Amino acid sequence: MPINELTSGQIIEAWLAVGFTLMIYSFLYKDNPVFKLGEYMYVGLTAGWGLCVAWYMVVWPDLVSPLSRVIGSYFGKQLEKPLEPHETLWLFIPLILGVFMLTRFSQKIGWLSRYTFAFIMGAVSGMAIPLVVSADIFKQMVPTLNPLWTSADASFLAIMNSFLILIGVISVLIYFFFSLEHKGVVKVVSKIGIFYMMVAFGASFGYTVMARESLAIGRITKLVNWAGKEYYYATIILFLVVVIFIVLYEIINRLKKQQTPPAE
Amino acid sequence: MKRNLPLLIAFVMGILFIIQFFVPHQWSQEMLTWGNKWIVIIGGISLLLGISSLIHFHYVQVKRSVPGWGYSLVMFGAFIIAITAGFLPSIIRWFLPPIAPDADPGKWLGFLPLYPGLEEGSPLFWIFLNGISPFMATMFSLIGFFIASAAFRAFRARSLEATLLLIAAVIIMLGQTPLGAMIWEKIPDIMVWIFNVPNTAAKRAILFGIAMGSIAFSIRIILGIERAYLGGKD
Amino acid sequence: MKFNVTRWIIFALVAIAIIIPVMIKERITLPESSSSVVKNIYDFIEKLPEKSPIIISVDFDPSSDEELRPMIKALLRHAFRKNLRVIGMTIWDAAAGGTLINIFNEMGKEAKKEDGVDYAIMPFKPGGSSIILLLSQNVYDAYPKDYKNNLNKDLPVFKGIKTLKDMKYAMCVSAGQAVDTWIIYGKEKGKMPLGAGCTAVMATDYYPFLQSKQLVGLMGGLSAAAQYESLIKHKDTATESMKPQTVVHALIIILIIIGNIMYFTGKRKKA
Repeated sequence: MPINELTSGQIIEAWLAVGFTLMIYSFLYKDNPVFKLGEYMYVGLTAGWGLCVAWYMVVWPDLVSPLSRVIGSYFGKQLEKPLEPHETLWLFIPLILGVFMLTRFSQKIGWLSRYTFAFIMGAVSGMAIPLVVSADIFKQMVPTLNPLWTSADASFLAIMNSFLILIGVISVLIYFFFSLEHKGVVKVVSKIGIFYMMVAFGASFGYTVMARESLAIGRITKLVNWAGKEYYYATIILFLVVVIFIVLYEIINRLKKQQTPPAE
Repeated sequence: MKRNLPLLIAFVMGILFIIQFFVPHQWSQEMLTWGNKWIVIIGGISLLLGISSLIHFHYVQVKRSVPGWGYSLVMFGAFIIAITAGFLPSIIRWFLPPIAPDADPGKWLGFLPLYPGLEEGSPLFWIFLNGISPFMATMFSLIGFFIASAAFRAFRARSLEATLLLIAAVIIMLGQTPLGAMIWEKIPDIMVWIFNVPNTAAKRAILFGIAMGSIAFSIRIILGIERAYLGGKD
Repeated sequence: MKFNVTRWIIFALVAIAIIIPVMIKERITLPESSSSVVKNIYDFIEKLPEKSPIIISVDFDPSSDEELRPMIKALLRHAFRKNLRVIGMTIWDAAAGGTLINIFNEMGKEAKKEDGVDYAIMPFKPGGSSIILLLSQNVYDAYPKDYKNNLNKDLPVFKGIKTLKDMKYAMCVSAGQAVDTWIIYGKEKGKMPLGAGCTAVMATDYYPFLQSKQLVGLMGGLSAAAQYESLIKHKDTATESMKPQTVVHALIIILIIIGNIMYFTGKRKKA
């Protein structure tokens, strides 16, 4: 008789999730077979998922299906409305480049993959240069230099902050300017740069603590929920199972060590 | 052929796409569209490359019976389960007569409510939600424990710089939670100031550095000075 | 051995610091921290007229789910309440495709919105910057079909949209470099207003873009998600999680203090 509204499917899902979570958490004790088992299952499932995603979301709709005019005839099935002939022809280029890339592991024809990498690296670099210059350099320079001419409407504090930012940017840049010997004025300025960076890294660390803990909180909150009666105490029972397994593993390991004297 | 032609391809592509940015002509725009379409398709095939290298690695582990090869078998098992769940419904569907257009595609086997492919409700998606998700989420949440231990052991006020770092970190940790305002109402304001002034300045200078570096790297690739990505010797 | 024991004690303390506040069911009302960078996003969406198309890039996988899902949920609740047309996409790795589909369907169901009319989910495509560049040229070149294989041109949600420029707002919620990609390629080419959400780890990196107005606003980590939840007056997991979050932060600060006391007393003894 069900105790609650949950379907048996939901209960099985919860038990699976609890099992997988505890398998990974067993690493907090130390590396052990339960963790390894979970780790490899995770890798396998993710690889399978990745393969299906590549097929269903890219290779099939963008490549195989549009080329159905050619491929479809082998199956005797027209897969979907074929593309214009010139569009179909254009698709052979990425197909060939893609196949070239798959030769990467071959000793003999692996060099073919270089054409693909050269195409991608060249094109991506070319597309990036003008946009990075605009977004990360020009657009970032404008507010840095702002206070020097447009600060009439701003409050004194805002102007001060703007100057502090300008000083910070310059001093950090000077710190990273290694062609200059860090002596005299340069040394003082680069020291100021270090102070700015330390405060920034401290801020990053404080934020990082929040990020990492919020992930742990999310998982543990779920484990606490699944420990309830409506899930048939999934967390508690599986926790005991994992603990018993690790204890047995440790006992067997110690016995083995006693039997085989250390080789010297 | 093996080395110079790829370098020429990188050079031509790079220069073409830089010029493209400044030319608003329709042909130039078409070129950008096609170039990117190809990159997406090649990217899809490269996903297969990554997976095939993983499979190859574990195949070698099993074949040579390297210690721990049993785990590689587990990996294969999980991999096969996932791809079976992903492809079997579509394969079955391929051989079945087409369903009525107004019928629920999930009920195409009548009794099994299985959607094909990656739709929500498909067997593969079930594996994603109940297998991959808990594993991934837990794997990364482990760091939450280790960071506490690291903070205890390594976060020391050894010097002026380290003290600054420590104070900033503590202010942020307090300010992000209601704790900060409870201790001193100004803590959230100080936190915001740290973000907006010293942090913005330092991160902007670092951003300039990264941007310059990535531009320099791109130019090196286009000019053929940077060749590491080609791999191999000859 | 001693090293391991100290570590286990700290792990246990962290676990306890989380479990106890989670188990206390009563909602403890804590004063809310407020940040203008989060409110900017809320205000921007609040001002958009009905049926405006917006695009949300869900660039994280289950590994950052606990931190970033509340953000997307709050954003979608807000957008659906305002009757905006939402297009969901991802440029992050393959697993993010699953997260995107899952969240959008969940929130769509909750708000009783129709897939294809009020929102649409795009399939995962690799090649990050290329996808965004394609979007800025022609949306249908980047995504001819949605993830259910419907032609996007035929979907009501895409009515009047040709390029990224037609979007009234774009938001990237990311656990990696996707926000940078959106700033460099999306914002430069598409010119639409851009907002960002990210894990707290990277949040400080994007403050320069706020001052330069390349970003409308920024949500960094769980506290920002909690703040957004209180702005839309729909408290959910982020608000709940701030309770254990506060206790854990206090614990870590105490650990740092104890560590430093031990360090300085040890140093004095040596001297």
